Amino acid sequence: MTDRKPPPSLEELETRLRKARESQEERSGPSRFAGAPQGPIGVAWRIGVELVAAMIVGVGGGWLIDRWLGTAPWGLIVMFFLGSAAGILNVYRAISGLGLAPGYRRNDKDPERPNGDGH
Amino acid sequence: MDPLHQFQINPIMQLVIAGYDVSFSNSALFMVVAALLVYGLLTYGMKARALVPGRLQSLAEMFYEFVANMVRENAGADAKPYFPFVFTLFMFVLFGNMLGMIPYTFTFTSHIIVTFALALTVFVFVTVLALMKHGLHFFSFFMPHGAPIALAPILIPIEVISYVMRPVSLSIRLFANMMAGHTMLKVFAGFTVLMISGLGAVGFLAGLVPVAINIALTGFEFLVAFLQAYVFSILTCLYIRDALELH
Repeated sequence: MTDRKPPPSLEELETRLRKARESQEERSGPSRFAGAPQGPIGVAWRIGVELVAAMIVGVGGGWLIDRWLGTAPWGLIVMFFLGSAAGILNVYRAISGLGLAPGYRRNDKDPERPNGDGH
Repeated sequence: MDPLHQFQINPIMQLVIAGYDVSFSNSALFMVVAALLVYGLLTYGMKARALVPGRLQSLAEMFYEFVANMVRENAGADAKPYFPFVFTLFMFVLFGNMLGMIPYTFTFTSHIIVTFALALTVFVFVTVLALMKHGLHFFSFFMPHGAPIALAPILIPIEVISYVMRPVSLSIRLFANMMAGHTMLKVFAGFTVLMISGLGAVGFLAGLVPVAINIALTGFEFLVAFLQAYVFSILTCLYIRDALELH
């Protein structure tokens, strides 16, 4: 048992640690939006779902407002257009890489966001 | 033969409390099974606490590391306290989707009410988090930077709608994927039955084609089951990031 390898020196450990950390940073960098399915079907799904959800919220909300305030059909009409606009806006945001979430701001006006490489 | 029959909710134990039907259904049964399986995997798998993990332990560790990386990369380093929330969601949805891949089981994630309840939990959690972190400043979220004030009456409702949309799109994405996949499997399987009963001996040969397609689809469904759990939790991470980094 005497021919065992000597334990690694501190410097050696240090470099190994640094390397490990670097590779981790690398991984966390560009893969920010890797979460969404990347293939064409995934993109199509996303667009479809965004549009449908916007219409559900817009038209459903408009209908509820009408029922609540008795303003038929104006709530439905106005909310239909607002919902469509929100849907298109979300599709635009999702596709142009500003993020999957609504309400994201442009990265270049956002110095505090660490990896603001708005791709 | 009805491809949608598999989504039927059947009460296992009738129960009515204060006029509400709260029967324990097959859907609820599989939710309990999923939760128990996750619990079992994590507690039994980690029981050995070996330095060199066994099969179950490395599976449990893989899940843990996978979600931990996802939270760190997508929600930022400040989001560590919310890791348990995302982990729970991911495991529950993943096990729900995967349980549905076993024949004769019930896929509870194929019901929009289940996914909507999950998405609504995320939505309420994220909104409360943002309100707690930023107070009333949270509402500046709905007015984009640098937009002219005159446009506010149009922009603010649009932004509010796209914020309220989040749970809807989150739940539709999961439920539609699961339901579409399972329906497709059933429809293709139905073709084989139709061919055999309609074409006789030729049908037995022709009926092999949908079966072959179904084999490919089953593999694809496993991918979808995993991917949708992943997408669901990654979107939760992005929403948490949004709530934390509001300016």
